[in-house]
Amino acid sequence: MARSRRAAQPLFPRGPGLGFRTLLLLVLSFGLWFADQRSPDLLLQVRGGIQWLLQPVQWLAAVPQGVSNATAGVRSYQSLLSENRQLKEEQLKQQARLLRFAALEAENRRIRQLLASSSALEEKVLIAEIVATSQDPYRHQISLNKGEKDGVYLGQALVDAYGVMGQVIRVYPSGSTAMLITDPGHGIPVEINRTGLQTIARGGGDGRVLTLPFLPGNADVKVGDLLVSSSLGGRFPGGYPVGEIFDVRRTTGEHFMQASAYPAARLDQGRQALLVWSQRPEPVEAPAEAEPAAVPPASPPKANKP
Amino acid sequence: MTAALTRSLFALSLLIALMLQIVALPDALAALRPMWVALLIGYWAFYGPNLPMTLIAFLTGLACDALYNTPLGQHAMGLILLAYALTRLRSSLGLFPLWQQMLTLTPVWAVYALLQFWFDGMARHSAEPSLRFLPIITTVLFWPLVCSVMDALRGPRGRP
Repeated sequence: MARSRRAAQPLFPRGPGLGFRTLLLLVLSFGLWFADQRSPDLLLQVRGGIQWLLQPVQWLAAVPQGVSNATAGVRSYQSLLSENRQLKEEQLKQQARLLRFAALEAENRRIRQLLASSSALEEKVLIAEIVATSQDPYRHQISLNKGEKDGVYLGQALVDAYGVMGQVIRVYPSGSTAMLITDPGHGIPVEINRTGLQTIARGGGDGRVLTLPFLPGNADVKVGDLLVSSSLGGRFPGGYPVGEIFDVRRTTGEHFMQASAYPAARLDQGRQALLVWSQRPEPVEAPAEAEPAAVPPASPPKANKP
Repeated sequence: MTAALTRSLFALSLLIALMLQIVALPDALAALRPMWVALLIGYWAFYGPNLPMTLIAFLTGLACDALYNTPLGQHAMGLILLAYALTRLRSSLGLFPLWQQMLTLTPVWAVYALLQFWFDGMARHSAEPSLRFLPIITTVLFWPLVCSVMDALRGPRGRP
């Protein structure tokens, strides 16, 4: 220890020793660190001064990068020229293409406008609130809060988000009554989506089922087939889901077979229904008064009415 | 070499060390950048004439802190301890061959780097640990190079 002290320091040291000086400076720098750590604004001036003094060092340190940047710039001057030329050509080509696209876009807009107007014509709808349901188990009817004032007409189709619900059978000035497709007195012309077979779905009467009677014995009907509404009857808009077949029965010795389907619409859920204006509302109004059950082969259900 | 020349060489070498410490390097190399300032402070504490090395370490440390934007005093504390340790070690290690010095001084650089890491952690500025410990390896390997270059610059009678 003594040897090292002698070697490190002059023979007759003046002032404090090495260890003491080190300790002093350590305490000083720890104080600085603590102060700077706690409130950086305190020593901002000091830091700024040191940085100002060290500016030449920072300039020098930036030199290598500047040099490499400069050489990179010199090297790529020729390539810049060619790149510029290439880009100009490219831009010209793109411009020409863009002109063509502008014409296409205008055309597209015109066609879309046509489409939109026609679809708007087809899909005029009105949301009606279901205010009451019939308590009679053999009569599946609901009352709506939209009537003549809102343009509701007799025989108007009623759908929900999942499929066809039924049709309007009575119109009051500010309300209406609709018959659901499960009502035993209701029939709806349907199409089997898979094959395009046209037939009629009648209400099963128990509120959950539709029946498809009098299907030809060789008709291609399977469990799982989707029934969609057909616009052939003139009353319902075509293409809405009506139900899904869950049972096909062939009775031995009969000429016809019978299928059963669950309605697609949630008939016993929800409080809203959509009234749909189909394309031809006019012809419905005159004959509807006589026959509320709405579809041509509606003779058997009449027996069910009390 | 006269004392005045030695002092100017000393100042110049520290400035160059500061510059090397902040010069831009590719990311892969920057992780391996030796701790130049620590190396030069170490060299001058170990081989230099009788200079007030702890005070110089303090001032250089403040410069480092300003350059790195660390809290003032962080590098200063590390460099003061480094200067103290190497001043103390010069008599016992001074006659060792260079490669033995290199190996024996490894813990000193490690302690320096660890201190910086520790202070970073206390300042809630946690750096990637490998960025703090990779430089130890390069610093150890650069010690003989720095010593040889500085000795050559100071001339044959430069070393005490």
